[in-house]
Amino acid sequence: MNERSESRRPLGAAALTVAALGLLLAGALRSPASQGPALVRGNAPGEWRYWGADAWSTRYSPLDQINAANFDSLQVAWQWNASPFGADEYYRTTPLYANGRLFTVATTRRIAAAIDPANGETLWMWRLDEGIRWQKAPRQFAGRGLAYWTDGQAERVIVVTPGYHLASLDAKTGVPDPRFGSNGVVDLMDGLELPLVPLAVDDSGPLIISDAAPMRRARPGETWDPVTKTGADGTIGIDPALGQIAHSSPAIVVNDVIIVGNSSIHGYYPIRVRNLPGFIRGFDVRTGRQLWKFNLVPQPGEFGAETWENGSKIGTEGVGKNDAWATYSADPELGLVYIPVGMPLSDEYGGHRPGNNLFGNSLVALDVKTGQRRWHFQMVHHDIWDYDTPMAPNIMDATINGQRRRIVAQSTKQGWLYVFDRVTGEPIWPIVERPVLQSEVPGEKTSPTQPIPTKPEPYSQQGLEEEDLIDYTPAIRDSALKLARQCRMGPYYIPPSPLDGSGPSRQHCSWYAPGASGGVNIDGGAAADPETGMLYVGSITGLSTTEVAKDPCSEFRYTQAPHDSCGQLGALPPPPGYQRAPRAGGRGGGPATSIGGVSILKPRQYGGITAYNMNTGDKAWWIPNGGPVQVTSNDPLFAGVTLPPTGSRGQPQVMNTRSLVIYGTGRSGGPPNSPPRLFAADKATGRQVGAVQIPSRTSAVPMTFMHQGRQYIVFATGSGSNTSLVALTLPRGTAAAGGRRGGRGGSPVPGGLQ
Amino acid sequence: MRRFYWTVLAGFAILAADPASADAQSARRSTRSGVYTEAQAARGRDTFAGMCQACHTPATHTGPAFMASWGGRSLWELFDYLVANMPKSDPGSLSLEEYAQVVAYVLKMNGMPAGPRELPADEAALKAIRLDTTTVRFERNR
Repeated sequence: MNERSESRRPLGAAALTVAALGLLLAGALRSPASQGPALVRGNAPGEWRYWGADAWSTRYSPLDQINAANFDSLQVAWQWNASPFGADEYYRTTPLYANGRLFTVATTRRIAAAIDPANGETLWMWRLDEGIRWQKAPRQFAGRGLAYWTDGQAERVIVVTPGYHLASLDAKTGVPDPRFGSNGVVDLMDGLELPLVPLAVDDSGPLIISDAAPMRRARPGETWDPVTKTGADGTIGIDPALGQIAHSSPAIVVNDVIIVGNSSIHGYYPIRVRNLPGFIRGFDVRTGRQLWKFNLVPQPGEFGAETWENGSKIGTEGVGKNDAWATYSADPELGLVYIPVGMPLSDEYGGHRPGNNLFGNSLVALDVKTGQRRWHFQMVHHDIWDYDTPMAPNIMDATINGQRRRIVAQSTKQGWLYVFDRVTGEPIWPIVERPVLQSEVPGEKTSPTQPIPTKPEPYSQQGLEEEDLIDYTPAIRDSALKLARQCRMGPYYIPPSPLDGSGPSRQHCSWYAPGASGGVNIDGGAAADPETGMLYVGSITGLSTTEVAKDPCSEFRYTQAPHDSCGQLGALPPPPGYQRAPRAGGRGGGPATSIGGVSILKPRQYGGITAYNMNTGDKAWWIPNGGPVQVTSNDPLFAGVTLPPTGSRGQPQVMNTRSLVIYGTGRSGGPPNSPPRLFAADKATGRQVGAVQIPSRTSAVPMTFMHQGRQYIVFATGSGSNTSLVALTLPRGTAAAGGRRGGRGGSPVPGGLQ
Repeated sequence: MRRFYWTVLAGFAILAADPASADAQSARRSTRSGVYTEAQAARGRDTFAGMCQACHTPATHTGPAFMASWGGRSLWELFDYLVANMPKSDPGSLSLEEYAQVVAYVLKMNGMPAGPRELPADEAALKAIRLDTTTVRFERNR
């Protein structure tokens, strides 16, 4: 050491010069490689490199070649058909555009494909055979998308499969990266400190909602029977006795870290009272090495473990889920990723898991490099309403009370936006713990309060109270009130009632608004405008009821009523004397929510698209999804009364550009009997400026990009054996003067870029 | 021949004595007579995949459990139940044609044959069709 330090001094200056030269040289050699376009929020302007356009999930593009003047002339450029690769549920993917290629996933196998944006040709396709792990995947569908990464030279497409594998593919060729994981694939069931066992199945079908007919641990020496398609096929995975793990939304790549969570079984009709919890992990994007893990059910000794009063260790009764199944957002400058967390196990009954159940229904900010929790906020304590946090939060910069603030706005199923300082987690506008109705279901211990945002105003019907009812005449009001009183009423967070009406109020149903699909849900969500600070929230509004009863063949004391798992593979054996209850005649379910076809809810500016000015927290404008619906009735109760129009159904699927809010109605959306259309509205006012017919309804949020001088809008559509991506563009010759031709990469966009 | 004759008579007696609802008593057409088209059931399969499969795999609506709930009833009861309650997440959100094609797909899954005419999304027509659970067996000779 002494020799070295002595000899260092005379060479110091020379060493520095050499080092400096070296750096310069390295810089010069590196500059062509890293000469990609300047990134804004992780995205190249005019491209769509993230599920939500950029790392902030703005769903914003600065493009303006498609504008109010020419929107209605949009035509189908090509349609990419996924059915040769297999079937799907409904096609819920938003594809990506990066450096001249379009990337998507498709089918129940979640194959990955690259598509030529100019003509819809398949450039490459990748598929992983996952055996039993695919067969029993709880989320066996294409899912919401995939991720992209580049260092300016290498480009990768990152896919997480239904059977829970992480793949890194060369974006140019689709070939798995041999330097990543094992031949391009990381087994995500590894690294969770859970036992891996050989897997087997006793039937050839998929998992049955929620956890019936699961896979199991193989018996020693068990083999595969190709005729019955049962037995052990050689795959290994987490011991199914612990539960099921799944995946449904794209990973997010930030600062060279792939952040991956998981999904779970559906939470309605569960049979087993224990299941796997949610995890968030960071992986090195180049090697696939696992860097960190964050437990969304805090384990004993971890912060928040005491919010599980019966214990939180994996395998404890009541413990499971808290899966962050939606898409995530990140701030690359702050180095934080924002995780929207789903609810704990069993959607409508929490009697097996007393306590607030952290980090269920929370927004959690984690350090991208270390996985350390920076802050969190729980939006629903001890959820029994299926109010998973369903959507990537929207990161924005806004000027609030004269101060520039870095905020994050979380849209939710329950009808509120929760807005925080994204650095500290401090609410921007007060969120107040308020007392709420308590459950009458035996063994249930509801939270005495829930956090209620004071601002912004909600975008969806919440609860049901007298003032919400139609009251156009005294007779109408009386009829509506009579119907409303059949179930438990309240302002929000009305707990499900016991179906047998055995509680003190004798009520056997509770009003449920928003319902399990929101409010906001993953199919819709919000688009943020970084130029103006506006947030465009797509949501639904409606009314249903919720009640719980005993499923005789489930371990749960109560589940969503009515349901009977008896006879299903994996269910409990029927109790002595069990007889399947004959179906009562009639419509079943809870009471009607309408009279003579007219909803008892007075129409308000709820659902549809609500535009918020996030500089003030005020609503700026509102439009219904695809247009209003005229309401008429033959019921004499409404004779002579002009009924106001309502908004229409479905989650609007919204993105925004330089001048437009562009949206699809969603697969079941828009006014009844209307043709499928894509709409454009003026960003500032909501006034409709375009409505172009499309082959079929959008089934996921659309995206837009510039390719070889032309702007395209691409969206997913269809279901089953009939799913596709549709690309729209302007007819040749109508492109604005600013567009440029030539070159494979994304062309520079004129004007100021955001 | 005599045994055949009595078996057929017995079969008709069973059919006539079907203990279903009043609607079904007056229903004339059986779902075994081909009350939907293949093309309609194919559309129904896609609708099912898109709107129903997230909660119900197709297998959960076939076999004895399904028949125990719906067998012998008019198709209107099943149709009306679906319109009022399904999808659970957004009841009534499909078009009436979509509900009809889902019913067609459910019939196909339960082994009912297709026919030349589509299943209509019409109350009167659906009330006149009964979800058939019986099998008439003809024994020849002995």
